[in-house]
Amino acid sequence: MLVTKNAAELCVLLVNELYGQLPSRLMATLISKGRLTVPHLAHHTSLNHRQVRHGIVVLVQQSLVFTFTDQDSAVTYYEANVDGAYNLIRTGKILDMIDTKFGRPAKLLVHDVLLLGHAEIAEVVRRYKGERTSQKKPGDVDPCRNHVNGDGALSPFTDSEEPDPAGEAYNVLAQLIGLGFLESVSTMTYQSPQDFKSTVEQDVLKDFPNGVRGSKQASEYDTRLRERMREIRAERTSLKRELEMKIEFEPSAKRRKLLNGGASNGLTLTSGGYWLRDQEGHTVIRLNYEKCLVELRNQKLAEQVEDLIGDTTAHVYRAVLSALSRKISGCQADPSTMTDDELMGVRVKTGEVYEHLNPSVDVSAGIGTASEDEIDIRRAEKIRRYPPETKGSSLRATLEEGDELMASDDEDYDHSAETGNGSAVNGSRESKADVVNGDVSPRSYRLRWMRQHLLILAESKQGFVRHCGSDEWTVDFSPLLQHLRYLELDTMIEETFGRQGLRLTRILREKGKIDDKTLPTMALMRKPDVHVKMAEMEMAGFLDVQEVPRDNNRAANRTIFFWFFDEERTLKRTLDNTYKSMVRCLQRLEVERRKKRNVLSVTERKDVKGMEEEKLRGDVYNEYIQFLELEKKLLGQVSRLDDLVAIFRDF
Amino acid sequence: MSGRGGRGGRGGRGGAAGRGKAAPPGMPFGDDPTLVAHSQPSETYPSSYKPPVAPILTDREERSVACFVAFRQAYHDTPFYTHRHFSVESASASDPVLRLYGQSQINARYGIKNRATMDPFLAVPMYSHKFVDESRTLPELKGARPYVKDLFPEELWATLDGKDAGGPKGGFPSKAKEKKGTKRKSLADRGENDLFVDYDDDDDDEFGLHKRLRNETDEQRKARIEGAGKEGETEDVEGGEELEDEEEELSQEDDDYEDDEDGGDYDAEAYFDGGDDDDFGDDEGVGESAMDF
Repeated sequence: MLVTKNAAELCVLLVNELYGQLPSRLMATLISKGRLTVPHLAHHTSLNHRQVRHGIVVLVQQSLVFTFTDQDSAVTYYEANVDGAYNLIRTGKILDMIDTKFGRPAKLLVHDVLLLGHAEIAEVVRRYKGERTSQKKPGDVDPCRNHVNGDGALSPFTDSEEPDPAGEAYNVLAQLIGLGFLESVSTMTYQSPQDFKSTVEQDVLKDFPNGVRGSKQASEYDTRLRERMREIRAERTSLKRELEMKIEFEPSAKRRKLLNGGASNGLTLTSGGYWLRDQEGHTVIRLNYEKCLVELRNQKLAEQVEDLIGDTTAHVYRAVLSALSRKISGCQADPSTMTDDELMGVRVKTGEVYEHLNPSVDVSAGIGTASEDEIDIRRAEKIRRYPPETKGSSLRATLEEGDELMASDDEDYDHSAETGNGSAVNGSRESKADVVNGDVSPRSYRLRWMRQHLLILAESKQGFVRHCGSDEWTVDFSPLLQHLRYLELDTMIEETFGRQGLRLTRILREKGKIDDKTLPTMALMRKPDVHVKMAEMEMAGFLDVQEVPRDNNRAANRTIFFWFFDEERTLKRTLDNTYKSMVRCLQRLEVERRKKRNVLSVTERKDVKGMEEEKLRGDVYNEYIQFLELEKKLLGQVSRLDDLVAIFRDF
Repeated sequence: MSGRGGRGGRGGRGGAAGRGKAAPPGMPFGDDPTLVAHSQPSETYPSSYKPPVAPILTDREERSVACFVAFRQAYHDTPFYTHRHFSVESASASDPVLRLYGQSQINARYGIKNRATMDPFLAVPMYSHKFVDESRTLPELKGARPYVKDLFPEELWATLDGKDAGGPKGGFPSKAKEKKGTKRKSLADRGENDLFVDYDDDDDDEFGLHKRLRNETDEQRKARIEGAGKEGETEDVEGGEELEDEEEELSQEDDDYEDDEDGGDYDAEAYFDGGDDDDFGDDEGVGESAMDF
């Protein structure tokens, strides 16, 4: 994979920061030189083979390299996994996300899995058990448990009960694997994507001894290739699907889901945990960053809703997203391996959303009431079957909308919520007065309010939610993220070039290429102002100009200059600049460490570590605290920049 | 966008220093008298630069930074972490972010830990050393945790066991020649698949494969002990010659920079301590072979 210099530097710094110097040296060489064998690595790094092999072991353990063994010569090639190295920066975010979503035990388990890189399930559980028992001793301070969990995730441990850590660990692991946050590892996961693809291709080509000739064979080859890919993918996720099923049919599954998975205290094994212990103890697992990314994307979108609409609506949106993301495995799914279901787009029922809604949220808040005649129910309840891009079939869409609308009107009086199956409650405005009087069950009452929030989301300009069928909701991620991308880019342009620069780029984005004579009139700005701004932005690389000569002389005054805004290139440049800023933050951290090295060398002593406050002299301690503040600021800045990268690149 | 040298010598030459003047004729906006172009390069760094101050971290950000730091700390306490270790010159440089040109300069930046580079004043055991963590330059793999050897290339297996013999083939479970012999033997004896084919075979379920793999490594370990006695007598089947050649070629290449491969006739390190890593203390394992350079 090709990366820019800054991205490569960033990856190396990250590996150095977390895993130490030796792996980072190897990583640097692997990124800059491509795939290498151990002797070549030794040659380039001036290390000896023994050191190289030790470093490589660490990298393989943490899945930071792809390996490829040539079967004839038994020579193994290593290739840097740049994405994996970049993902290290998200360690903190992922751990925090797991903590808020699944509670403390899950976080500890993921922490262990991350520490181990990949590990057998049995080993993870063993470690967890060890930690749990050692934790009970007083005075044992573990830094990773110091922070306060603020999001109300229920901790299953109270002092009164004596939990069985192993059982609990199996339960939580079963849940995490079932939801896809942990994935099983096989030798195939160590193949680089290109190698994987070419192996599959060669595999399929064996069925065509004479080569692929003609369009008919080509299409047959394509379908076979796709089938094979899908099979392999299914094989990889077989453990996940098995556990998913078990979680689904768990009698207490619904309760647990609502309590963010914290309610199982390990005294009783869930069927998933039981199965995991007895059958799959030797399965090797690691963290699935793709799935974690989906969850981080949900967080980001919910924050956006919180900013734009409101707190309660954001809670509802969180519920929508978490219901949806059960069916999404990655942010950028590869269409060649997608199942039909995914290609159609995932959608959720209102009832499913309700299942995911935190019961403590007061859904009636954050929303006003309007009298019945002020609401155009046909518009409010309008169903949009097709995502916003496909406008070609608008006629059919409108026709069907009409039908659907009628149908949903008919359902208005079908209060199936009272019968308890929870589907198809169409909020009818007429009955709202009754609701307040309390003669409807609390569930349907909440459902109806929640539905109002969903409608607000569907009505929003950004299109946070699409009402895609009667009682079905979906989220069109790609236009939504496009919007987010523009939002970030606009903020950046406004910060650098002011409001006028922003106005110009927005005009250009809207209209495409514009002659520099018409631009000032369109922007309602003075001509010189426009020119100065444009030149400034061109030098910064946000805009570009195309010259079209009117005759052969190519004289400047006979040439038309078209300004344009190249989004793709701008994104790439911005991304690279962001990497650079991150690199600088990490380098700054190194400089600060060096400045304070006298203090830090003291705090790293075994007798001081963990009880700095008592052991250190006052001024030294103050200096240490200052350094910690600084480190926090720098790492915080890096993680903010990573948010930007995630929006521009990964989501 | 200075006009200087822009488009084929069309105007805009010879502007006095610092004085703004009308844009060169011929530029698209050249007819505008109010527009001035500066022929002097502008200041690259504005004198009144006020960097924006970042807002304080939100709760979530603070928590995730805390998680990151805790994870880093936890990893640094594992035996896999290798400490920063720079050469004397680069460690004493004022700027840790040095500008380096070429691989050799980058490599020279890192320190080598061996008997030649140790500080004679600090190397004497002192009381305060009790509290200082030893700094690792090589991860301690042996016995740190169970490994899933299936996921590691075969050339790293001995490294995982802490039995890395050094040299280009030192990571293989046994010496290459003997290993080939073993492989054939196991093929003949047990009728199992070829080792290499086996390695990439994914059809089996994880558990079964794992179990068999463990058997295999045991077998090999046994075979290595056996093979150590009767060194040299390896059978030759025509399939092996091809491999042999390739290895020859590789070792030729290696010889340029790694000469302890045959580990026999003249081995300077082995002269004093028998070349055995283990008797030298754990943390100095690197030094021995690092002295080659």
